[in-house]
Amino acid sequence: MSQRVVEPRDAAGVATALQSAAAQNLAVIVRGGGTKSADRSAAVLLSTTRLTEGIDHVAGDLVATVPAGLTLDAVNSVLCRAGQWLPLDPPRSSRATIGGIIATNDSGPRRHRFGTPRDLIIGIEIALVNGRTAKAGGRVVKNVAGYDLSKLLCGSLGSLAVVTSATFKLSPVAAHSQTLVATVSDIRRLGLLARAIAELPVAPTAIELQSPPHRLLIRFETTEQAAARQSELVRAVCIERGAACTIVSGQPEADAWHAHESRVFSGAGTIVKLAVLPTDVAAILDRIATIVTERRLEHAIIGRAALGIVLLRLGGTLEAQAAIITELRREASGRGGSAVLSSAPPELLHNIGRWGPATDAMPLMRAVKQQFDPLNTLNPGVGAWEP
Amino acid sequence: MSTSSPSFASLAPLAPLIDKCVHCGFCLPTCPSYLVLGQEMDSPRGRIYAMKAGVDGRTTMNAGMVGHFDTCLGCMACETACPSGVRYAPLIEETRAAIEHHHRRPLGEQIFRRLLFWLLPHPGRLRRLAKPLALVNVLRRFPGLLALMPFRLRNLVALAPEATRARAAKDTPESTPATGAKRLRVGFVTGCVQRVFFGHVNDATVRVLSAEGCDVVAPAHQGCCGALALHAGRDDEARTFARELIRVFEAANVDAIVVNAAGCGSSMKSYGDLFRNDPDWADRARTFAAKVRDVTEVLSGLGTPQAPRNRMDLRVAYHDACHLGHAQGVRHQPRDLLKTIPGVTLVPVAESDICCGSAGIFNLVQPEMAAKLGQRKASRIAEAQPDIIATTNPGCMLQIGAAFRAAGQDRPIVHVVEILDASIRAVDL
Amino acid sequence: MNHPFLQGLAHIVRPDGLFTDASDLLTYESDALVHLRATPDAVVLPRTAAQVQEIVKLCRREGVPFVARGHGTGLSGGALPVKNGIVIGLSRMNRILEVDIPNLRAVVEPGVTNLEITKHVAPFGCYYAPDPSSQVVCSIGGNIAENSGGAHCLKYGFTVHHVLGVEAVLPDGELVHLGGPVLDTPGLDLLGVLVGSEGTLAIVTKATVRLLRRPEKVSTLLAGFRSIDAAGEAVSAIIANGIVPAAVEMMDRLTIEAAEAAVHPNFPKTDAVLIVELDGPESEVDELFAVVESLCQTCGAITMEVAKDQAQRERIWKGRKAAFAAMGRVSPNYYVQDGVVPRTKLPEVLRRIRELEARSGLRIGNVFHAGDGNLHPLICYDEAVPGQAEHAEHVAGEILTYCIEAGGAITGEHGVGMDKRSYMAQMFGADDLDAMQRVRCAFDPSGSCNPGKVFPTPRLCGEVPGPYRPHPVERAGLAERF
Repeated sequence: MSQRVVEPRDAAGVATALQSAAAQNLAVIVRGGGTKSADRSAAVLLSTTRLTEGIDHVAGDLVATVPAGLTLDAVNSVLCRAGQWLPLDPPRSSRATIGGIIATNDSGPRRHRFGTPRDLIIGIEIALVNGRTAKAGGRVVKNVAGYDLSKLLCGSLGSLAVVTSATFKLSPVAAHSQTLVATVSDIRRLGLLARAIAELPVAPTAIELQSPPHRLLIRFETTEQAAARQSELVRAVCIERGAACTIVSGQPEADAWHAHESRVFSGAGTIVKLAVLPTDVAAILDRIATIVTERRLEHAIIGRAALGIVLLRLGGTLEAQAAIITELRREASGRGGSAVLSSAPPELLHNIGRWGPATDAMPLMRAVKQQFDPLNTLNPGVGAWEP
Repeated sequence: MSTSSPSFASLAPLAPLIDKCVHCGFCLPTCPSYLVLGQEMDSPRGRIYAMKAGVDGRTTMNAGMVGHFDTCLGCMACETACPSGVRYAPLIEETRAAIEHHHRRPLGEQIFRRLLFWLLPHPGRLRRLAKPLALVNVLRRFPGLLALMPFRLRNLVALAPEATRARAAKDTPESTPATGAKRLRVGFVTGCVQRVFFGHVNDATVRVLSAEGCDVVAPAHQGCCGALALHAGRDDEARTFARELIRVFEAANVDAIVVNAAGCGSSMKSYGDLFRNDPDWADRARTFAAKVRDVTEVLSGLGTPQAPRNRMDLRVAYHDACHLGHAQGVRHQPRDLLKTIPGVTLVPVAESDICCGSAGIFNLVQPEMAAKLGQRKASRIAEAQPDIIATTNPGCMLQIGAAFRAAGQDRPIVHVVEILDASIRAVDL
Repeated sequence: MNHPFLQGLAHIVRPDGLFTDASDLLTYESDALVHLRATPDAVVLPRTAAQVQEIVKLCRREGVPFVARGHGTGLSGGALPVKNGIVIGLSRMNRILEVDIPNLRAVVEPGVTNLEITKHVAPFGCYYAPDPSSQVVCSIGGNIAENSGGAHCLKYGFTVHHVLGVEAVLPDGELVHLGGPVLDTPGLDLLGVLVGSEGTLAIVTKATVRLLRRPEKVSTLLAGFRSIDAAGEAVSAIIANGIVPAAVEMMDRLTIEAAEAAVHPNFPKTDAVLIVELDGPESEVDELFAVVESLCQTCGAITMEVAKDQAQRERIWKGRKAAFAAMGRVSPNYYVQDGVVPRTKLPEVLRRIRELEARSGLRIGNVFHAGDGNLHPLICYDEAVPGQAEHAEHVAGEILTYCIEAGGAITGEHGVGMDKRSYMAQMFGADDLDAMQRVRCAFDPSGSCNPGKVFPTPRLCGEVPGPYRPHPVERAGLAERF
């Protein structure tokens, strides 16, 4: 049976398509830029790429409403004309759509300062499987009227409803940007250096770790003077701890960050996202280094050092990957964290599961899913709560 | 809106004060009874709400309500915290008076209270207690024996002052001239418990006042100021004491009337309110009240110290007595005075705005709650690691002393003037 | 309320956690929104999560609705008792359980006050960011229910940005953990929807909160302006210059007077004051603060005071934070409203409020978070004058309509509670409310958890069709039903 593809132009169109699919008990996969969709076939593919009408940017309020089908880069290129931007830097932002970024609550290095889509979203419009559209939140930053469905939709992987547009609070574009790159000889030093820097009276927009080679990238986006002063403080600490430092800005800086992202997001292999307490980052890196060196596997690591988020791209045989990930999962869970497969081949997913151990909130999640999508029309099987 | 029941009728004229409360709750975290019990009825906001309900005729005074009013320490921390300027003091005093007049307490409690008020406001009777008290003090050394006693009795033993310091005779001299240049002529209220069991504090007070240029007049025949009675709702009794005291000091013709017990000072400053319904005495009471000063206020107000201070290397934890800090708003003066002594370090105490649990006769009639508050206060003071604790109220001294003993520690607790006195005379404390 | 039920409650919270005396119950009949009152049938004060679970299970068995309450400081009637229901007070669950400074986290019970957290971690140079004006007494549980903000939410966000995880009792008595000390717990962000749900979805029994390190420098400016408009222009100019202050607060003449009388902050006697605060690394703050000062000058500030030390800074903020309660000094009663307008629409809405003030004959003071457009009009009235209380309520409602018309919100911080239910339908359509209520049905199908709040009409949870599970073959798209 061939897959039906629908490309609605507006929210009402999305709602109608969903209702029709539900009425015929068809499963629907929702796809934006295709940067994250799991490779699964379903009866209906609903593309959001035509939901591109109308960015409403109110610069005086530092707020913008954007349609779900636009890419993040497209949105920001419009917003920055007024000196503002949506301060997110998830991978593949030239192809990832707003809707997809919301559905996966995706973020990048600047999560350190600005948070995730969930932290920036203030309003949402969704299309539901009952054929209706609904709004929650609003266009003002301060709003506690009703339930905050925008937060619920962030990271819901398109399993509850389809996001058709969203309103975000923005940030002014900084006058100046520069990044300090600190290189250490040993991965075990990375975590400790990151902790030392996080305690300084500086306000970087990112503190990223990278390996191999073992580096920290600390980004400052502020006035030139303030960036220079803060960089100096950080540089002093780095040198004290035996790290070699360089400072880049302009194109070399952009290139460095692009290369940083590519380490994990280009290239073959499975991507694992580990989440632990910031004080456990050093231990996790240590573990990874030990295991991976033992087996001599191709790998790359990036991460938000001060937040406890570590992204690992792993090569090697599926067997080897399974063994390593299982061990890392045990390590992370033991420390109250998680190890989730961001991107992996179906056999691996089937073998060790995407999410890790279930929590006591899963029944409640199933109840919420049941309320929004009783026939399991939308992106079936994506949720961590799926049995 | 029905008419108020007889027990709330006397509160009805105070309705405008009650209505000032906007129910914001800022008083809750500062109220010792709310901190201990965690229930709305035992908070200033809850009590005022109950008063309003009573005045509006929605409820009558019952034993439960009395209980919630009884847990109020009268510490006035709520007045300090209230952004709307609610005057809680007259409200709780009137309520307590209403309870005294209209509510029958259980017999045992009635007897106990009558005993307290037969004894405490009468220095003569207190003096005769000195010898039997020595036995009570001895009992403290036998915790095994104490454990066998009912809680109330055990509590009394724990709180009892040291008999060894009790004064059989030798009151404060009626007149003490200023040393050196005379700056002020002051009357001195010698107190009741203070006079008998803390006579050394009175001596130190007179010495320091004199050293700082005050002629001190301490009329021999003065009696109680009525504070304990007033704070327990025995308003008629309080007025009787007050009238006597006012007469005594009117005759003395002084610039200021100095008191070294915070509870007494706060009561005396509110004599105007106490006699608001008495046209004969209202003015006299107000005139008297306007002259009342705590000893730390007077000394601090004199300006540059006249008597040179000798060095004392001490870490001092100053404890704000509620009736000085909250009720009278006197906080920096005692601290300023201590800072005039070279070598003294004032160590800050956390939760300084929370009552130690003494609160007049509170620790005698509400021993469980008072004990909890005492423990809390002792812990906070201990955390500051002081060498010595200084305060301005005999009740606090007894309460905090008992709390430290209960924790197996003993800390020296003195009145602020005792430290000043020791510094001026270059003696050890 | 039947005797076995009360006995059951008494047993759970023995020896002293149940209250049924009429005179006790009346003190729980309202929160800080005093014109709304309802007497509960009983009040229970548990000390542990296990006790809360037992209470909720008992309520469920007996079909008794319940309302959770912190320290009763809410301004929308969120803790207003429900007829034939009980109040579950969390005031005795007030311990700080864990402080993890290296990871900047703390675990607290719901009855802990907002300020207590900051006080507790202050010795480590840390603090808890959301700072509602009632922070000295409002509970964390209450903050979570209302998604409380405070003056510094312009830069730092709200409670939802500072709570990482909760332990909560669901309306069926089950204990769940949403979120946690580690970020990105797998699954739906139920924590994100719980925060701000006004106690209608669950009862929080523990919260893991995020701490921040005190910024290196804080600079606070108190500027007096000739008019609200001039002050508003200064704010627009600051934003237009790409500066996001940590806080921007505005007060008008009436509220300045009240605050002065209450706490003597020594504010200038002008028609408007602006409090602007910047914080962060010293190098950044110094540079940007100079820009802010010059912008205020350009926009016609008559007076400018820069806080020289912590004491001065505290004095300035005390004036702002006491503003509501201080209104009690200039008026026998007042009704504080809470609406939001896009900042760019502030001047227009304030003008409409001024006109309304003249028409209505009631004085209206204005305090607001100028940075995010959250207004708090304080409508003065005297309840002793017949009909004036209702008039004030009516005026408050009209202001909310102005907010909605300007594209704003009916509540920025105080919540909908009971007070603004009727305005929900003006701000949201039927489909919008229906979508939100689906969440409620998932958490509380029996409708026993703080019923009657937030939504004007409850949704019948039984409307959901039975669970249909398509065959996996269908789901894979390999077969299709006709």
